[in-house]
Amino acid sequence: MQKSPVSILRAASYEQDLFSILERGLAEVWPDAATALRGKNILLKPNLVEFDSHTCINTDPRLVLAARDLFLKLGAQQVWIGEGPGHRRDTWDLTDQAGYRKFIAGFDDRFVDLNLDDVRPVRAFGNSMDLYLPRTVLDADLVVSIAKMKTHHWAGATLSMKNFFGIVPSSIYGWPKNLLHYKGIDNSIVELNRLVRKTLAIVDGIVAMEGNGPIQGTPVSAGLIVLGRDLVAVDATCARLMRLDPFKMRYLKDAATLGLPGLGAIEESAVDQRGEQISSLARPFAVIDDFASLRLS
Amino acid sequence: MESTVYALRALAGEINPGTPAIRFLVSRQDRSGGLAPCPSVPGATWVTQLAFPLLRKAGVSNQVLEAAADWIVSTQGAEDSFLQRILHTLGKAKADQNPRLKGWPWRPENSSWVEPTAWGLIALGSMDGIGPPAAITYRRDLAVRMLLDRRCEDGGWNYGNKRVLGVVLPSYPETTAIGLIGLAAAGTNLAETLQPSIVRAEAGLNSFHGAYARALLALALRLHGRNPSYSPENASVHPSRNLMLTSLEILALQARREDFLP
Repeated sequence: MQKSPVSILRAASYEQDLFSILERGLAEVWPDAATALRGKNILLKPNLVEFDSHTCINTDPRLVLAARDLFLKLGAQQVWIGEGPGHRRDTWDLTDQAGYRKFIAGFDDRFVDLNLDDVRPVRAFGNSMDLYLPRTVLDADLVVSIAKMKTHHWAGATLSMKNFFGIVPSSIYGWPKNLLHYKGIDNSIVELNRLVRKTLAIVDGIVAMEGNGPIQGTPVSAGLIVLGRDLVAVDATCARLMRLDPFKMRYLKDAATLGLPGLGAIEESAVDQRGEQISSLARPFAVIDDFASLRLS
Repeated sequence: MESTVYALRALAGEINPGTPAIRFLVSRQDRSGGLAPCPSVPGATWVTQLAFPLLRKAGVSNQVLEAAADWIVSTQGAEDSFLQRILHTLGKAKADQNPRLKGWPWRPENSSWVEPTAWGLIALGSMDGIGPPAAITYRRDLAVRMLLDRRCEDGGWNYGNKRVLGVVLPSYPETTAIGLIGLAAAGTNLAETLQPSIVRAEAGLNSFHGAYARALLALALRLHGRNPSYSPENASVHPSRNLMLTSLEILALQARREDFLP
């Protein structure tokens, strides 16, 4: 069985040359990306939830900018940025507060509020219902989950897979997207990743969050970026970097059992590790008591 | 749906069953009596209570109104499971809220949240002679208590959680405004109770920059008898400008309590 390549990249700060770091990482996990992405329509999906100047809730815009520039250099025809925050109604104001409009030139012309986008139905949750998803997501040739590395008080950790909660439109499902909680958070994470299959993950762990994430947690300078095409492999690697046990994270285990091609490498032996070694950058992330059992001994 | 409702309210013109926008709203009613959120998505949602006061004002048929009123009165949050009630009683619930105090969900079979509950209160105020009086009174009382139960320590509201896992959560300006708008429809005996929320709203209007939230805050304050100093910012250039925001800004400048509230 072919291993899933995952690259761990050292990045001490957002002032570094993130473009070059991402370029190196993408070459490690997807050597023919330039051929595959030429002329394609790419959607970057950062994690934008709320803004609090005292902590680090959102994907840093400088990493999103570097990703956009990289995909344009690789020949993508269009690179969109899209997000549908689950708490705040005014997405544009959130992008202002989080620095996206300041750091990303031309942002206004390339951002889609996924909460308000046109939608199409897809059959979901065991074929039991239509789930309406944004046209921008369904029409993209590649959806790049640019997630924030954070602990999460309902799911243990929120990484590239959980980040897809933001593609579910609140204009249909509300603020918060309560349907996903009623369907089960782990179940919904797996389902969204089953439905959106042309994906790449870039996890922003330059400054990550520990403790009572994903909003009230504490910033931690982890100094890393994790990148790969198998989102389970990426998130399992992130978990190990956070000294959490990926086998105890239900959505990772459930996604791994789907048997979908290119999604599910949870075992370390199934991951083709590139770049930095886990041992060189791993550090224990504080978690709330409910998730104490996730800690790797 | 939302944009249509706000635009109709902002235009404040004469409406009747033949008004194209009213016909559009009525066309979204399904067999349940509720209204669906947009033409491409079936299934009744919270937009039913958002649109109801306009349907009543336009004088659409009693059949349409009664079906919509029944849907609104019978739709409630699903958070009061036996387990949640036990956890709340034992003080073990993750979110600090009384699950017995149910308002309205965004969609049926989900939990109650601030915004759909606020619009539910406004819709109830338009139901005189249409809905069952005892049920209307019961739902109004429950919704007011729910909103006050979910109010944040800073006096405002966020989407609907004041404290989770023991951590106090802050309010947001836009939901603080929505909460106040809903409670403005609940009667005037809340003035003292709502004073911290008014203070929070006034502070938000003076300090917050988001155009959507500022318009809502100014509207909320007007509906509570204040005369806020407000002018729309970034009048033409901001990418967030759309029909709904423009409508809200008009309402923030001009809405009269007697027109906006039942």
